[in-house]
Amino acid sequence: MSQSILLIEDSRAQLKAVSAILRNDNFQITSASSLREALACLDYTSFDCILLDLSLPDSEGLETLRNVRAKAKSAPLIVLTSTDDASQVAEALREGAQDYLIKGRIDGELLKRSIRYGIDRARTQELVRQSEEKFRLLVESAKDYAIFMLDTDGNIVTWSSGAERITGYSSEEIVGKNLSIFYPQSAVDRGEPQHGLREAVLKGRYEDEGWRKRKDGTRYWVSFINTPLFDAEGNLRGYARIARDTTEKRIAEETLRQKIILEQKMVLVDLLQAVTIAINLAPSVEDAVALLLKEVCTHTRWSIGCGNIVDTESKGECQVSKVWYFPEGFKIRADDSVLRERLVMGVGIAGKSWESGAPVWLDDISKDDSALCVWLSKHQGIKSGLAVPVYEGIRLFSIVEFFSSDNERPDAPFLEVMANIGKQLTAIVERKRLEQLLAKEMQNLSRSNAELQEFAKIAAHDLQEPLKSVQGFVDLLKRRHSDALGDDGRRFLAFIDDAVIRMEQLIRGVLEHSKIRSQEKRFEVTNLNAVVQEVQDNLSVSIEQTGAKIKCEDLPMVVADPLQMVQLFQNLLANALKFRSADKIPEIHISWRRENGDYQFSVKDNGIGMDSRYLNKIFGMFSRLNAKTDYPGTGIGLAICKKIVEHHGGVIWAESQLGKGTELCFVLPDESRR
Amino acid sequence: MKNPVEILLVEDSPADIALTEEALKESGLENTLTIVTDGEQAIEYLSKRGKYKDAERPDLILLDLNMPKKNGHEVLEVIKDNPKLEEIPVVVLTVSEAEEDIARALGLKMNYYLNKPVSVQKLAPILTTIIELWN
Repeated sequence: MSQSILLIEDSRAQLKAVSAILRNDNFQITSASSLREALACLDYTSFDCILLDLSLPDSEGLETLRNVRAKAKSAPLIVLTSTDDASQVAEALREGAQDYLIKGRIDGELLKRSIRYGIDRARTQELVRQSEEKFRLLVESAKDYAIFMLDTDGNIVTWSSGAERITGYSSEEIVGKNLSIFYPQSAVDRGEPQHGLREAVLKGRYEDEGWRKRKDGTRYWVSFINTPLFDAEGNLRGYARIARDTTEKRIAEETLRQKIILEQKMVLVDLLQAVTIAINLAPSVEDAVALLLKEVCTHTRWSIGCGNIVDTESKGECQVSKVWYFPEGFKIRADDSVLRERLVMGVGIAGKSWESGAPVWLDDISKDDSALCVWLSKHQGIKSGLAVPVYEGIRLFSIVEFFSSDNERPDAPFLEVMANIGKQLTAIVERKRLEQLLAKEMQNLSRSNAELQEFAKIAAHDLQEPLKSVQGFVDLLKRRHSDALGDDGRRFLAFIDDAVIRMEQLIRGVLEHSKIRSQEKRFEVTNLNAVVQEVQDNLSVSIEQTGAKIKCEDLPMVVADPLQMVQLFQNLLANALKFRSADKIPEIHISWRRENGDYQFSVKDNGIGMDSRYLNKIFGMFSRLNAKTDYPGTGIGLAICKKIVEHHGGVIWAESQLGKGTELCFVLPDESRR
Repeated sequence: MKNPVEILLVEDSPADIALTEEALKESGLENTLTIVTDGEQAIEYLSKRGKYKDAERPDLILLDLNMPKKNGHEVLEVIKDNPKLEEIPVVVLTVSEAEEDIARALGLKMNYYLNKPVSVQKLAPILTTIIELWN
């Protein structure tokens, strides 16, 4: 390929000479004899090389060079001059001339070499320039990256538009400033900026990320790489740093992380709720533990659960019964230690958790002291184990163990939930124990109650038989031998009579009392007005005898046992009549009102009343406040009243003062509201 | 001990009062018998209050356990807690053989107990012993 040469020369002799040198060597020569002509050529054509005479008819010296250079920026320029002026030579080279040849001394080979050299150099320079331009464009176009260089101290040397976009600093503002300008003060205090540079030198490159601050003070998250730059001799010359603003990614990651944490928390909340419901419904403590294990293992990554329920404990050792939860298809070895084990305080994860009173986690249970743990690790691929002690007060109730095929450390929220579950389990153990106790008591109570009722019935019947005999023989004695007995004898017989009658009354009372509970609830809508009327009919004799005035409000209909209502009102009215004042006509007032939605009744008299000290005594069986001689009776009446009211779910009480009458009050719940 | 012996009977049952009277009569012991029918009266009598302000200090008390108002145990406690009364021998009259009733009375420092019904066969030896010991 031929090379095009522009020869700018006004001397025809010179033109000929140079043309002659170059003619045979595949150079294509265009000539111009003035600057004007040369510039016109350069307007239309580019040349591989320009040979230039500085002294032209329309231009002189360096001025010529500058004008040509302006038109042909990249072509190599070789100056041809007649002078050997050193200063002009130096000046010309500075202005971009490639080489300098003195007319008259031009050697053909020299000229050709100079031209070729010039062309090669210009080409190389152009390639470098193009490459640099590409690189610059690359750096400039990387909008998302800050790409810049630092000197050995970390001061910024170059800057890029991406760096400006990310940080907000312009090149003018930032070049010469230290890298630490981007770091938060705390990171600067920790020496992070310099650390990143030192590490880059030591390791060849350094990658990291962190929070940085922009010019306007806002934060951004950056991922960056520091690369050390060395010269040919291996001396450190500075660093290149490529940084990327990954704030959005970071926020997305953080959001995701929070979401995962939240989801984990929700799982724990679900777990806690599920366990709470399950163990509260469990019929026994063992069932509660089994359900706890199942819920924990189905909600979390723990796949196997084992509840060790302490049977006996003494001197740092305890015998435990084991309750297991396995995933489906799991085969546990058939061995007694699966069901029972002796735990020693401080030995194995269970023993260690017992000793410390806190959860103990082991990331590799093949190293545990427990043979069972080692077995799980060997045959079931279990890696880690967690033991959580459950205390009831200071007594170790249980150690709950969980096993997992990963060895991820259990996090604080999980342990917190486990502690909470432990507490709930304790509460349930306590409750179950009380329930069992209560059930036992109830059983005893109902048994003794049944026995008592049976006894009362038998006693009442059997006691009456000999009594009937006594009465029969007393009657015979009185009828046939009255005269022979004399006054004392007859008096004694009267005592016997009295005693027999009293005995009969007592037996009847006991029987009545015992019947109240044994009867089924025969509740029906009962008209209390009719009840009181019936009672007044039953007591008509003593009402007439005493001249008592009975005032009764219009009473409500209640749901009750009507026969028991008659018994209740009859006992109360009979008492009011019996304990009347000697000097007053008895007045009895029956009233009622709604109290908290229930019915409250009152039977009030103007009788002898009683000392308020005895108010709580009078409802007891056989309790009497007055001598039998003055007020005969069995002391069962009010006990029966109390039992009837309580049988209806109500309460009874008395209000009284000595000499000022007595008011007996009782409440019947409104059954229709239940 | 005075002659006739001053006896206080604390008893609410008319039949038991009659039986006690008969037993005393048969024993031949010269006595003055005062009867009160409940625990509160007994205490009023012993502390000479109200209508009993001129009451004699008894040489012997026959005390029923089962009475209205203050029962025998409460009366016994009052007697034995009072330095002026604690010396008076108390015979507790009881219908029950229930050990706890007797043990409780023993705890309250009763002197003797007698299982009802009161009869001369049971009462006479006790009276003899008491009179010998306290004279």
